[in-house]
Amino acid sequence: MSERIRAEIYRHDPSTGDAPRYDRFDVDGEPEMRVLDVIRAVYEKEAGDLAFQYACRTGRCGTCGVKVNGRPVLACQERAKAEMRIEPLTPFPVLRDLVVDRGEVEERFRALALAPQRAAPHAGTREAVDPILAREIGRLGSCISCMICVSACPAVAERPFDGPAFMLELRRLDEHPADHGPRLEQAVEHGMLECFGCDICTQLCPIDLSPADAIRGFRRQVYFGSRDGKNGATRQAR
Amino acid sequence: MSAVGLPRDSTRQAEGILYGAVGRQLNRWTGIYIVGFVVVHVINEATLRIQPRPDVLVALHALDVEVWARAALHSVEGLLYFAVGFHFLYGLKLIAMDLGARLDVRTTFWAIVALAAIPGVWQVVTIGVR
Amino acid sequence: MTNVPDIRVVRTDVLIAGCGGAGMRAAIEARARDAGVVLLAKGPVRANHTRMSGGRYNVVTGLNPDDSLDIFFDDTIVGGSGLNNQRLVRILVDEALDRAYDLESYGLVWERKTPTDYLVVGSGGGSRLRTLGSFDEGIGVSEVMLHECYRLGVSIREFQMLVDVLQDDDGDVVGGLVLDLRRGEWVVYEAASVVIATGGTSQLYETNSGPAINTGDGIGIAYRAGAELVDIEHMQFIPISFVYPRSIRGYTLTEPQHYGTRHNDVNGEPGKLLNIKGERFILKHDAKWAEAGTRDMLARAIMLEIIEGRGTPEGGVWLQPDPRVFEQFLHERPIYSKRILENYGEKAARFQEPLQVMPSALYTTGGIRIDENGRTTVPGLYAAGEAAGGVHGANRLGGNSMPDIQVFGRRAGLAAAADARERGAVSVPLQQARARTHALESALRAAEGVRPPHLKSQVQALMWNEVGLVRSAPGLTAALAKIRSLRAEVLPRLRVTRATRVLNREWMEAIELGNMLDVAEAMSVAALERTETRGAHYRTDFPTRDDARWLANLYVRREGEGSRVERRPLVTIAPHAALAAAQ
Ligand SMILES: Cc1cc2nc3c(=O)[nH]c(=O)nc-3n(C[C@H](O)[C@H](O)[C@H](O)COP(=O)(O)OP(=O)(O)OC[C@H]3O[C@@H](n4cnc5c(N)ncnc54)[C@H](O)[C@@H]3O)c2cc1C
Ligand code: HEM
Ligand code: SF4
Ligand code: SF4
Ligand code: FES
Repeated sequence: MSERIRAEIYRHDPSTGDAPRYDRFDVDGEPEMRVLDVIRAVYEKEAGDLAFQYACRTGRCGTCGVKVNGRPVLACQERAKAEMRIEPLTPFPVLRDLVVDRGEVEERFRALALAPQRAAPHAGTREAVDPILAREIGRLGSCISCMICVSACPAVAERPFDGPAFMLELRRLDEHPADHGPRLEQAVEHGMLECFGCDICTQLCPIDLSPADAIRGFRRQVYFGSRDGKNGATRQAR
Repeated sequence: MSAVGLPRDSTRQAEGILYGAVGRQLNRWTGIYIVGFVVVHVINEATLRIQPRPDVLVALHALDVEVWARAALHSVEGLLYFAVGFHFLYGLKLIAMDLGARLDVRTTFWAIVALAAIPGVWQVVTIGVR
Repeated sequence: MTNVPDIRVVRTDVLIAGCGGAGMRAAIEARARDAGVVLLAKGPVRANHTRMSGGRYNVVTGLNPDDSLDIFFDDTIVGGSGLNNQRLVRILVDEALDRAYDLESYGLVWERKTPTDYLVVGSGGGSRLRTLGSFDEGIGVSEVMLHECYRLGVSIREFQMLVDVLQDDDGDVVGGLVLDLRRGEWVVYEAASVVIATGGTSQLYETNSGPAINTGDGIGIAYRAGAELVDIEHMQFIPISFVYPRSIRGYTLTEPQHYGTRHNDVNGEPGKLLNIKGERFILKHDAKWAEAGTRDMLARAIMLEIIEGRGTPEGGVWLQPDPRVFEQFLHERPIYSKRILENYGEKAARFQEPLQVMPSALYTTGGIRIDENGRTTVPGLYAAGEAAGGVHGANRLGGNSMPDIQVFGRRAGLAAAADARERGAVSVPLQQARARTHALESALRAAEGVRPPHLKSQVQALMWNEVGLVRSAPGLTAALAKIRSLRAEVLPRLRVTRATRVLNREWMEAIELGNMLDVAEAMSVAALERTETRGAHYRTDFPTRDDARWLANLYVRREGEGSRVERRPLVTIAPHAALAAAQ
């Protein structure tokens, strides 16, 4: 496959007065090529001053998110298209070119206090957790915080809502037997009820998670309360 | 082919339909469409006795009777059925999922579109044939 | 650039470079003891190696009656081909369980069979079942630690790269020189203790399994500061990894045994390795264990097959999985099934078709020499995690890095906080920092020269070919000469495409290359010195293990523009019968 790939890449350095622009690059296609491969080829051969971010290149660090033809994706996972426009992930502030500032995202994580809020300190022995629940918590814990879902979520765009990834994290804590934080209240406070239930987040999550389901778990707690005064609503549903 | 499903191939996320986005937009536009119909119809009914009739009300009456009620344009009426069907089913789906139903976005989207299209298509076809 | 911003000075007690498992654990400990802590990450907080890992954690939990601390100790030493620092191994073995509970207290949920019985499985090189894991793997490990850091109020600085440590006239460390990549500004952190937790140096190799940030910065920085490196000739390679596409090339596929019935049955068969002629070449190397042999033997055998021209056109060999284990594999490692599906297609993912595999650089076994409390040979400088050496000897057991980064991350944080309190305020020689920043900005000023990515791929190819899986005196000598000449001639002539200071990747790579070349030098020097074959260190000119002469460690230290390598006896503790028997 020696097909040409034409990429239009967003260029902007907010530290200068220059307006954003799109630069066009032609790159030799390779089998199974990923968007990140194209970006790296552009950097190595044509635009040494391109700013972009990646680390693991295998969908685990969650730092390579970009928009390809308008849709948020992980650059290292998404297949390159013959024609594509590559832009930084919205709605985050751009540091330069394809790199966004995730400072505010980290502030939100910090503010949500996502370490378990324990009634008593950990005893230093094995803590009891139901094995199935342990897997479920681990599944929720696989979120790579890539912000793909937050970028795509229409409720984030229209309404006062932190975004799906944060709800998923709160849900993980809510499911955690040792945590006594007011996770449901936090979720509501951070806009959980604004969600449209559209499952865009579910469709685009590169880790095959469903933040929308996590939100529905919280909603059931709103409607029905929870069996043991804490978690239970989603467990019963699974 | 094989009993065990593989995980999803998520390397073509930027291609194809974003079902959630289309569904939500359709729900919004069908909702607005229904509001449009209801507003026109209710105001017209409520103001039928007002005399002398200002131009606005005459136009409104014409709109209600000619376009909506008399179904001079069958497609408009078909669309109304579709709108009601889609909006109703989509809303039910959202509620059902909030209550714990586990439904796949893609299949439910097409199912709702298909179900909602039946009365509208039926209407257009039968009236059109007659 | 004409307008060079002056250096910003920030004071703290403990400066920790590296926001992976080791750095975060050190930060948690130091912060919990009320020290002021600044934790640096070269990129976004989540861009680290710990996050990429399987998060498998070796520990004697007491749940497996056949296992004991002594057996864990012995396995680690035998796995390390005897070179491990036994004092460090003893601590690793003894403290791993408490650190596993710490992770649980931060919110990690280990997989389990009953509410209180953890699931304990096997891992490469372990003679007993002693490996814990969580469903969220390395992501979970790093995520819960990050939230614990947030809880304790550790201040984390993203996109801040440690460039060098600053030393007073006695050579004691008094802080760190840092480049804030986001603004292109220099920051000097005045700190009585500096902890290096910058991870390994897998980026030295063309094909590697690690993240782009692992360029061995901390090892190079410590080496330049005069610290001793230990066992640095030992680099661990994973035998099988993806061959294509380019982005994922080198990402681990673990071991052939997981692709056959041997995965859960010691009498079963591993997945079969075949060359382009369809031969089971592994039988030439190890007829007994074949594809179930050690990682180093497998990696070497595959590499030789590729070098000798019996590999695939894409540069790998074939792995024939056993379709019967597909369902179990899918259940246990869904993420690997997903990646195989996405890259090699559905048939391969269902094990109905062979996969292309190749070896890949995984783990920097040696590193900065540390004592039991993470102290390096330079006062005020500490190291932990993959950047440090000694714990794993010549080869690391799968699942031994996770307890390592927890146990020694904590110890380094503890000592760094205590020593900082004792030392009190320090002040940095700003002139020293200014001279260094001037030199480091040369790439921004140069009008012509070599672009950093070009030098980087040159170094990576050189290391892969000559200081990789197959080594020999002529190759190593040539590589060393080349590395030194690149450092002397090309490094100062690097230039960037545009002299912007904001997130200038070329500039960052130019600085990384300084570290990469220093580490490459130390590795080649030590590899040349060790005239035997041991663990992953394979010398074609000395193909056998030579315990009489080489059951000893090599220490490398910077001396002037060159380096000094010394062979010293092992660090041992009172031997116990089992170990003597195993050797
Ligand atoms: C695919 C894979 C699977 C693995 N699985 C396992 C496993 O199951 N079990 C196991 O025990 N081990 C495993 N390992 C090994 C293990 O992941 C690593 O050895 C370990 O995570 C290293 O942790 P660390 O904290 O030392 O460094 P890292 O996690 O690499 O962290 C390094 C940090 O340093 C920062 N940094 C680098 N340079 C600078 C600088 N100049 N200035 C400031 N900051 C800097 C980086 O930004 C990063 O935050 C695996 C490795 C791989 C590749
Ligand atoms: C037949 C029963 C109906 C059901 C079950 C239903 C259900 C819903 C639900 C669940 C929503 C919320 C969608 C979201 O949060 O994204 C919604 C939105 C809406 N509905 Fe209905 N609805 C019904 C009838 C109607 C009628 C009769 C009208 C018009 C008069 C209407 C107009 C709207 C509008 C305008 C919206 C806003 C859409 C948006 O903001 O995207 N609905 N409906
Ligand atoms: S839920 Fe999925 S899409 Fe959202 S941040 Fe987590 S991994 Fe990314
Ligand atoms: S389901 Fe809710 S959270 Fe997910 S994308 Fe839609 S609105 Fe956002
Ligand atoms: S580079 Fe880490 S997720 Fe893409």
